Amino acid sequence: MTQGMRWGVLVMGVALLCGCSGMQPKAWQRGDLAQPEMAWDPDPVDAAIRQHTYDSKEAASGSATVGGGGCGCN
Amino acid sequence: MPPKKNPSVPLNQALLALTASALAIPGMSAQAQDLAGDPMPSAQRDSTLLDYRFSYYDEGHIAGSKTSSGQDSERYNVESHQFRIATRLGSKADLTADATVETMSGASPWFILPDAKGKPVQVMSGASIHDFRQALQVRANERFGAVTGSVLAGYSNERDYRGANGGLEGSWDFNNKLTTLSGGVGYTHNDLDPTEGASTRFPTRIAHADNYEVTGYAGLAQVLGGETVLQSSVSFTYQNGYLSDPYKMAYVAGNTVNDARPGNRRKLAWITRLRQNVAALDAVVHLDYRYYHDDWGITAHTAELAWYQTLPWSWALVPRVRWYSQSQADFYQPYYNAAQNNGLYSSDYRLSPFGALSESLGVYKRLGSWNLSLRYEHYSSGGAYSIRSIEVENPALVRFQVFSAGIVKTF
Amino acid sequence: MEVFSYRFKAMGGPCEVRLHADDRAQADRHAAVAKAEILRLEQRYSRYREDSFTTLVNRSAGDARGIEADAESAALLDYAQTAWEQSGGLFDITSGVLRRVWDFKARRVPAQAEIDGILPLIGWQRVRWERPRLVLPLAGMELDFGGYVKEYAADRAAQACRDAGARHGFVELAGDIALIGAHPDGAPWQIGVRHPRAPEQALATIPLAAGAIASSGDYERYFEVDGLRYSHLLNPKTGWPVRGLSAVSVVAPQCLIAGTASTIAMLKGAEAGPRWLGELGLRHLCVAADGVLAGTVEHRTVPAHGPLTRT
Repeated sequence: MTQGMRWGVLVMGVALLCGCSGMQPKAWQRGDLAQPEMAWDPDPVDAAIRQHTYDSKEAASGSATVGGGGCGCN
Repeated sequence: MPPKKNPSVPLNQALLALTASALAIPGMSAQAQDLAGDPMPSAQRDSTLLDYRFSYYDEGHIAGSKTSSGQDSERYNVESHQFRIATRLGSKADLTADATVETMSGASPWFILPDAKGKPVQVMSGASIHDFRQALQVRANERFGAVTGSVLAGYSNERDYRGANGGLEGSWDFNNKLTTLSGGVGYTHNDLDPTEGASTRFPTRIAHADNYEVTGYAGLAQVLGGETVLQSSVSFTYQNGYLSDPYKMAYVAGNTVNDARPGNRRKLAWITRLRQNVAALDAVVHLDYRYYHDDWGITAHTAELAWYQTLPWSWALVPRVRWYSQSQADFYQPYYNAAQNNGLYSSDYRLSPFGALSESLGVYKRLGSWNLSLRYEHYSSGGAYSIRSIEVENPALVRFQVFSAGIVKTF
Repeated sequence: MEVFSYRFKAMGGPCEVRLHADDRAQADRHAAVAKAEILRLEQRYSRYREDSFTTLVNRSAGDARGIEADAESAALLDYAQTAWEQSGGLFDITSGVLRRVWDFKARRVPAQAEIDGILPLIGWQRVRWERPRLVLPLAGMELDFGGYVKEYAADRAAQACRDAGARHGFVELAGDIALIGAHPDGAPWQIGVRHPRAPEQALATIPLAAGAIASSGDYERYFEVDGLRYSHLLNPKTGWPVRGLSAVSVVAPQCLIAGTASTIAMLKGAEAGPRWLGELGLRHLCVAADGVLAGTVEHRTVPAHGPLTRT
């Protein structure tokens, strides 16, 4: 396993701890669906550049949208 | 009396009826999320959103043990600037425009030679490439009751590559907005004018080529209880025209020939996305899986897990892990010992069998109507991450890291 | 950021807008927007105003041509119909005419014959509501929006504040609260719940970071005769006050829904009410006639029944 992976797991653990100490009561059920974090892509601009990067380095592509264009390959 | 936790109760029909009726009153704030695409998620209560993001993409060098020269070689860097403006047009329509400006530089893999023992070693492009890409995507959405229609169009321009695309998308909410059916069709046309095409230096390199792509998808999203949303979509793409890489060569029994791929390609992707609220931790889990198959013989799996952790004082932390694995294209070989009857040659690492693992961490901080973010990602590809064991790894498989910073302002 | 509080009277009760703002001017602006929205709705739906939609509707009773409802009123009528359907006829905006025999100021228990004389005028099923046309077929019928416009006004006022740029605060209309948003650090507001037998004291506090909370109770208007409490919560089918629960508080995304759910739960009574809220999946806190608290909402009981606060 790589250095990077171990680091990722460590960060996850820290996030969980922070989550507990900063816990706030979340209300009603329906409302939870309305949180921005529940969106398919909460940060669409970041999602776009990540998708573009993967598409240009990997053979697979395809998503639940028809937007796109551009290569920027090499 | 100790505090009690609310058990996770599925949405009740009476509550749905009341909610639907309450939200039908003009001006009542819609607390329920629209399941179909989310063109301006953070701007739902605001009329205009401006978003800027800078990303620095830094590809790791290729080790001397994998190059024909025996020397380490620098690879590719990209600096990207993304700008988004999203604005409401009346109460039922909105418009989003995304502009991207990128500068790319560095060396890229050219072709692969067998060394004395038959091990593939990479020849890198000699001269450093400098290119500049500008792209614009515009999208307009309009709601007609339970139906949303979208029109999108875009343009991308590089020195050697021009693409124009357009598309239509639609979605329909029904079953008390618990279910959303969505779909779309799109068309893209690309023109390639490779640098130094048909020149004395590169006489076999094409001077001009083009291709087009038609794509369509359909998906169904479903609310499963009050804290879970699931979406499954199928996307099909047909490409036709010049689909080879004009800069890449392949080694064929002592000679090099142009990268030559089939003139068409059919791609199928099945994407499933899950969003699960974890109320006890004030977090949301994102789980995405994509199955991909095309008629070049490539099958790929992509799985991504992200954890959106809300923290006090408007901070949020987003760790993310992504795993990817693909099989090779039928006609791919790192190098060819004999000419092929079908005339197809490609040693591009993108068509080789490999797997990849990426870890990313994002930090978000909201300050009033401003939202700031930083993200770091590390991506590494190789045979070790592949779902199947790989006999010969392509020497050009990438490692990269991305540093990214974003700022969003809502009005 | 500082906290600013604005109190005023509207819709027959005390109102408060409390919000965090950078300065007094900004807070004044946000509060003014909320107040204007509440006063607009009061003017539109008050029974006591000559020019209100309610008065217009009630004057049309017995006229087969009826009247035409504007978009907002039509949506509110649709909502009333849904609530009537979902409550099995317990939530009924035609039941206001019972006040002709139930006079809570005179503290008089009406005779059954008096009630029987009114019941034919009650029942949403008698109303002809074919959007946008509304017909009250019998002279003497009345609609009363008082049962839910207050909660709707809290939602609209909170939304108006958000539209104006406010992010942290709440709007309260006589105990029904719609949040503009949590405290700036994301911490929830601690909402005091009224003690039904000492309405200026808190029985418990409920933390609320988003959404709304509304309460309904037998303490709002009532009188006692021979040790029996007669509250304003009248069953539209029998014409008699309901008994069972003392108070219900419900947490929901919209104050409108919280208010409707708490009213219906009170009308359903001590056993069916809490069960129905459980089926709805809405967090709630019920106070039984004997003062025992039960429910699914996270709360802290206030030991000595401290003052009613929202912090």
